[in-house]
Amino acid sequence: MVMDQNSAATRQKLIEAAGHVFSVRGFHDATVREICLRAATNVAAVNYHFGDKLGLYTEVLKYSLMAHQEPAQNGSVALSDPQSALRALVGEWFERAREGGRPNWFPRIMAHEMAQPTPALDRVAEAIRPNYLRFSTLVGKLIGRAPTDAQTRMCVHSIVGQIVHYMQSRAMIARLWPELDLNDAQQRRAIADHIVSFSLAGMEKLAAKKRCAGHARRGRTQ
Amino acid sequence: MNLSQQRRRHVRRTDLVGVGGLIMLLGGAALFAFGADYPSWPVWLFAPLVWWSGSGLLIAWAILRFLTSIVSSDTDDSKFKHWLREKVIGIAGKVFAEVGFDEATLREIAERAGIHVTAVNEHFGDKLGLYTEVLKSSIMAQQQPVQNAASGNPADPQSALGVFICDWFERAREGGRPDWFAPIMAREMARPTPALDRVAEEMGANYLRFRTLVGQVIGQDPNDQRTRMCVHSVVGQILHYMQSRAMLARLWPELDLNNAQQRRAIADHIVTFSLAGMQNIAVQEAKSTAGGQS
Repeated sequence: MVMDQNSAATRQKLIEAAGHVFSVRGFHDATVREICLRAATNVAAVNYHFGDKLGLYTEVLKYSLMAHQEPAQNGSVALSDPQSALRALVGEWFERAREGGRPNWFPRIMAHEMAQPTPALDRVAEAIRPNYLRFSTLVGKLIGRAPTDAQTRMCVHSIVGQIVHYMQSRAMIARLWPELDLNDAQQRRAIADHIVSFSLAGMEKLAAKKRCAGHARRGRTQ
Repeated sequence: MNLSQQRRRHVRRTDLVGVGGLIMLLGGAALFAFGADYPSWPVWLFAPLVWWSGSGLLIAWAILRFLTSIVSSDTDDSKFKHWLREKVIGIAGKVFAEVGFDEATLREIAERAGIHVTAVNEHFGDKLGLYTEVLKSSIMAQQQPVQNAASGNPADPQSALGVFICDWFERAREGGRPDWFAPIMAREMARPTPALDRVAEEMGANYLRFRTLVGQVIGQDPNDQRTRMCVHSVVGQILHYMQSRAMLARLWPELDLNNAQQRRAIADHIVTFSLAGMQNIAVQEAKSTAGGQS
């Protein structure tokens, strides 16, 4: 038991240290030695817990990405009421937009990853896929289409894009809109509410369009 | 228009000087060589003629050159400079995207562009100056649609917004230098450099234009919080397809942004989605003010 706790702590320490080192050096230039020095563990610990550098890097990416994936899992609970499920999900996701909601090395790692994707991105995408599907199902329910339908996917990315924008382009938004303070719970709430009502109206329109098209088709066949 | 073509045009001008000079030289030489020894009439007639025509040509060329430089303020030269500038920015963009601002060196960029470092310094000042231009060109290349939309018909902001979104989506892929836009933006957002302040300042005017347009659609002031949130809802949807390109490709493999039809479908979707979202806000606002009055 004590042994397990120790090993979990070591694992966590390694992920934190690796996150920092990868964010500064990038995947290719980072060395396991430096990470271990920072985490105050021996080099063998990396091999034991993660296999190799790529394994460790994958875990770091997953750790930081999955931190905001949890809400999607909760969202699957209330599929009977997709509207309020969406509301809860976006609100919760946005809660993580505040400073300190995520390790501060996360954006830098993502920058490296977008510049030169490593095989780790494939693995992380696989880890995200179940949540992506759950979210697609939820959105599909709202517009009355299949989760893999192109319309559903476009709606999913319209919502995700709006949320992620506040995190990905934070530095630019801070300069263009200095009054915005995402550390203020009330403002965070207001933006999350806006995104939900904006998106719900957008999806309602698409659903209505589909209904109209359906009526028209039925009218023609009759 | 490539480097050698541009250079050839410069060479042709210097040739003209050369021809004038050569004729002058011939005339002078003839005068000097034969004039004294054989004071016969063909030399006395011919040599000065050659000399005068040569110098006349030179003077004519100088006058022409002077006049054109007044009229067109040396367009060829500035065109060449512009072309070189674009080339350096293109290469610098790639380098900055690959290694980031801190690690990139002007020497490497100059080497890849095939020019000397001092030429880069001359055009851009220092690394930060060059980087600012790169950042500007990757962001500002996408700014043109805002200006177009703002100058559109003010009576119909909805369709102006629709045109703007489609235009931007199209441009962001083609002119927005997609291969380095995402990494440079990601790096910049993660660790802003002083360049971001300068670019943000330049973007201020377009941001206001866009807010004005969206404000017209929802019937609010450009500075209103609702207007700003709508603006960022639209911007976020568009940028997502560029900034999260790598992840999108993995989660949605059927998506192909090189396919014009798919691009069109996504832009149309964003327009419909956003206009419905904004309409909803306008309706709610109308309801709440009506409720307040009654």
